[in-house]
Amino acid sequence: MNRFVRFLCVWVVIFLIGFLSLEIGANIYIHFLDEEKFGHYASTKQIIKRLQENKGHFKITIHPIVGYIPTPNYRKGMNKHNIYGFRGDELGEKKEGEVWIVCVGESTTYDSDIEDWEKAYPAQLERYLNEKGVKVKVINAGVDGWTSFEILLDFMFRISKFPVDIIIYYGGLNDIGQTRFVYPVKSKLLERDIFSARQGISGALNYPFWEESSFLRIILVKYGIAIPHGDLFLLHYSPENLIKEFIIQLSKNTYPSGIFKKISPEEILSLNSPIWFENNISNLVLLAGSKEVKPVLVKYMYNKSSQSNVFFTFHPDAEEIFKKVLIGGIDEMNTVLGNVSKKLNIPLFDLPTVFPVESPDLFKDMVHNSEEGAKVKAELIGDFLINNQIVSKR
Amino acid sequence: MRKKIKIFLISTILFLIGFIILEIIVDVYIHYFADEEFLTQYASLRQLVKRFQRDKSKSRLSPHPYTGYTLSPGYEKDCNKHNSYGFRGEELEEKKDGEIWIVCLGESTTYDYHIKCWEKAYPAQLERYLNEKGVKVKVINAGVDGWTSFEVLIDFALRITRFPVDILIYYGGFNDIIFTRMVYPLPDNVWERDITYARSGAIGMLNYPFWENSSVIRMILIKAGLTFPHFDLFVLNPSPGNRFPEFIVQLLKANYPSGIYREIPVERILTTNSPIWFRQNLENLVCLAKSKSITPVLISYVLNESTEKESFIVSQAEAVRIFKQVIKPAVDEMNGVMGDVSKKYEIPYLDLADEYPIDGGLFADLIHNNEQGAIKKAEIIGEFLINTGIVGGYRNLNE
Repeated sequence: MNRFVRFLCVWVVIFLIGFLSLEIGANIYIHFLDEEKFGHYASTKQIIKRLQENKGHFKITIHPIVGYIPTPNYRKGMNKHNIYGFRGDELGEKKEGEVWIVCVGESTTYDSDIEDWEKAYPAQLERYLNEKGVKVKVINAGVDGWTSFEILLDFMFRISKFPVDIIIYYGGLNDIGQTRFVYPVKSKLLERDIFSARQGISGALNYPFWEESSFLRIILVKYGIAIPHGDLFLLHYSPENLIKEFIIQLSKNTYPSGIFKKISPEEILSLNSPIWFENNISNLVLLAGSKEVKPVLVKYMYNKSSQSNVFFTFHPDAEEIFKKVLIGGIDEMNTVLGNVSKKLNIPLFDLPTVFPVESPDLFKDMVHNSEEGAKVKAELIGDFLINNQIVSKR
Repeated sequence: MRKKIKIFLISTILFLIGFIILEIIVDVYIHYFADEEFLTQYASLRQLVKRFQRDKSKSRLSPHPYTGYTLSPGYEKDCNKHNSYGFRGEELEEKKDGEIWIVCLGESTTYDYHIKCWEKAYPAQLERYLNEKGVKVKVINAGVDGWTSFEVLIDFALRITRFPVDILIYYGGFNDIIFTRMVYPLPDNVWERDITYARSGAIGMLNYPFWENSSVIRMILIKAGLTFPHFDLFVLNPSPGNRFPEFIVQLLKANYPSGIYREIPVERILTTNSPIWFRQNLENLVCLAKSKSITPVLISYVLNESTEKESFIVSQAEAVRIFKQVIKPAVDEMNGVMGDVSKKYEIPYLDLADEYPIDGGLFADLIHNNEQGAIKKAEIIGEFLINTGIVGGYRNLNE
């Protein structure tokens, strides 16, 4: 007995020392990872700590309301944010006769696939209009991953402080994946709340306790058994948000299985009609109008023949399924933009009908423009603003 | 020597086993048996979140992606309840013909946190009062304790505008003072001033040392006053520059002014940090309401000035005196902002602070009404709505 106890004690101690050493090793390994890998393997607390310690070094900064914002004063290569966190140069004082235009939207407004801030569509729009003799300053307020929720809140809390004259909204894609893939849904429309799709801190901390261990977390994430905490933190999905499950099945080539044998993504989207999107865009337009800011809505475009779907690399069959769902969703969001523009009598630019959407040189993937694409987009939007006398030449 | 090592190893293992057993017992208690009060005092953020997720209708508050937290829909406890939309009170039926829907927005003084029964809170009393006067109304209590004008505006834009509301009543500003204005230092450029200087979201919520992941250690530290309950971090998520927690700690320890407050008194911090965010949020609330044909009504905030003793957060006489001395001019300033906004947008403004009786019998503390106080408040607001013609031959001031 005595011998057995001694044997057990020694092994427990060896196991603990071994585990502790691995844990220390894993933490040191995480500490030296680059930005991308760090976001993949670090815990929520480690990510937060690093964001706090290296404020200017990361593209995004934690925000108490919208989750995250572009880091003010961020610099990397040819990219930069000004002191207010807008992509581009400092704003300076508003000059007499100058028109301030703010472009709000998602990664397709930030133009995240374009490294040089000066080549993003808002900067190209400023250049184009100034060349045409319209004295403008264009602010790029697009943020990767944001939905109409964050865009509306950003307008209320940040943008409305600035002397803006025109607001251009271009977006809707992120609303599809992040807010409309919810199943089951409440039958009463008014009972449906964004909490059923995203859960803030509750979603960010939705992982089992053993993932607090860096050693275990690295192994689990590496083998696809656990979700990176960086994703949980940024996306904070509710358990009913099935976008994650949809993507996992497409990646593993097991679609349709589980819940998707019972209900298709298209059915989920049709159950979750874009009521929040419509409410948010209407409120954005109304609030802008009441503050004497002219709103302009721009329909979302996509390149059907693109090999890349924006987010993930799938097997060709899975790729087609994913694209079909996205395209159906985008068309529906564009219809909402049309309805809001009619109802509230504000300008709507049908960009997809005039943009050469099937030109591969103008896209980096299904929705993100290349530098050339951003230039064409800027010119078409610029012409729309001039032709509809939303801005006028000197 | 070998014997000593053996004793050390066995004691270490026994200590670890004992600690783990204790940890498991405390965790099981917190997870399955603890009441809400115990949870908010001792649970970790993860434990709180798990309880919110498991027993939504048993927790009064639920996390929310944009407002941090909100009232749990379907919550019921004794004579308090929230409806399926998360408003304090009964279920909302379909809007009847000729019925006016009024929504009361605000903080704990609209939820009426100190009044146990939902029917005794001021919005429910206002509905009763107006219906008795022959005005057919439904009053929604959308007040949430701890919310500032930021959360009120977010809630209005994302949720309340989806309901067929005719009038909104805003009563608040106190939480903006303590949660968003005690910030130092701030950038000189006003445009650069962002709410991140006051609150830091997830950073503030998870800003505790790793040993507080242990429930046993956390409980001991909180009990000894050596750390903050995680629920407070969750609700306040203060930025490092937010000096409110420090102000309260110094008042509780009776050592105010010390530390940063020797450098700059709290009054000066408030003066430097003028209520620009409050003004902007109110203006956006009013503009959005008007553009949706909802008549906004602003009401000035009332402080209980009847005695020097009334406490709130702090209770020791000297601490109460300092707290009141700081808060009174700040509340006057917030009321001034409401007056300015009402003039600028030509909307009704009720100076309740001027009309409300200075009577300690109407309050539960420095700011919260008791049941009698809520009746009085409802009557004054009801009369104002009738006398100004906002209800009773309802006229939409936006038309």
